[in-house]
Amino acid sequence: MNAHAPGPVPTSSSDDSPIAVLAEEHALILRAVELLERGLARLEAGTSMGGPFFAALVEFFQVFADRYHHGKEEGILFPFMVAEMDYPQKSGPVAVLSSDHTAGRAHVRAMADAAARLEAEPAVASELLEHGQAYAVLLRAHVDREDHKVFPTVEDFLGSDERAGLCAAFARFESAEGGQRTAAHYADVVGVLERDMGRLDRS
Amino acid sequence: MSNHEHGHHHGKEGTTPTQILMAEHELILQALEALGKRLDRMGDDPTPADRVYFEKAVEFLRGFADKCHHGKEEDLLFKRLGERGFPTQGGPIAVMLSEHQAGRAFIRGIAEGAAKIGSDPGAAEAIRHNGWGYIELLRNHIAKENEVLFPMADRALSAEDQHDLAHAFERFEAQETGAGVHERMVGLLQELRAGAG
Repeated sequence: MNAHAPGPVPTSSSDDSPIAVLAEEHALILRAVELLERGLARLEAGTSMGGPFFAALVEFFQVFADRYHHGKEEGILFPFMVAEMDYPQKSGPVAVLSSDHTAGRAHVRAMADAAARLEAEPAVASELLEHGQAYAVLLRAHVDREDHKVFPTVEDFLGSDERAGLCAAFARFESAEGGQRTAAHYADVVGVLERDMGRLDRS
Repeated sequence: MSNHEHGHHHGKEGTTPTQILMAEHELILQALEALGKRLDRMGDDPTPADRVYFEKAVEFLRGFADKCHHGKEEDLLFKRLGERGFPTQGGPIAVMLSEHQAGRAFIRGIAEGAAKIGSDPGAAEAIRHNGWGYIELLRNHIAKENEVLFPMADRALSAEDQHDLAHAFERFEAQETGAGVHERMVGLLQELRAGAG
């Protein structure tokens, strides 16, 4: 059958904690961030690291991290925090986390552009490095803020009704975003990139 | 997608063999749509993510479209139609069989193209050529079966034939596809849709 590394396969179901679902997705996102950092380190050292590797990571960040994961936060969790937990929308944690997402999108767009031109114009490596490194720093800090500061507070606030309501909303969102196995698919992609990277490191 | 769309009500009263096969056609058409989207988004320099995607597409097309679906047609439906007087060396059945063969060659081409990603600059062209070739072939093939062959089959097969075939389909699934394969195929189709672009 399929030899891809299995990896974590987060999907939402009603008996989960919605916060745990997001935290599991963070674990997959951090594996991709680590791959990005390792790829950038090779690029910086002048070791061969092709555009397609970065293009695959860009796809992961755009589809899984941004559309699928940040989409749930922006479309469901943050509005819940504003409406039910009285967080302000334009300041405080919700505003900071949302602006992280916006800043990240700009870096990923720049990485996509540089990755596509890397083979033809090796000089764009500097742009890839600049935006890639900035994105890795931003995303690590962002995930840390969510996992250690914001999410524990939300988790404490949730009763079983809120938990079930958020999980149901997550599941609806996931179905509309290509299906609940999006996470499984992108876990496979990350697994293959890790395997490729491991092979490069050994060669 | 839910399980009842495929494979879990073969013996159920009122579900004919051709209805079962047409329900499977719907799943195959969903996979073709996803594959086409992914082909559209693939650049000239395919990525490792493209490789993962096309390997999954090949696994689904071989495991579901070819083995599970075409297997039932070739080993059971077409055979029974032959026994009921349909020509098998010419006519629609021979055309369907040769299209199944052509489809296998396209799938092999996609698999070979995917294996070349990262090492051979011809990978994208091989995947595009064989991917679109397969999509076009299968869409036409499915339309011909749904609109021409299956209505002829429905008229030619007695109620008893249909009952037998529906049960034979169930046994075929149980024998030819191992434990967990059905769930794997359902999951793969979802992943193909999720990663289409």
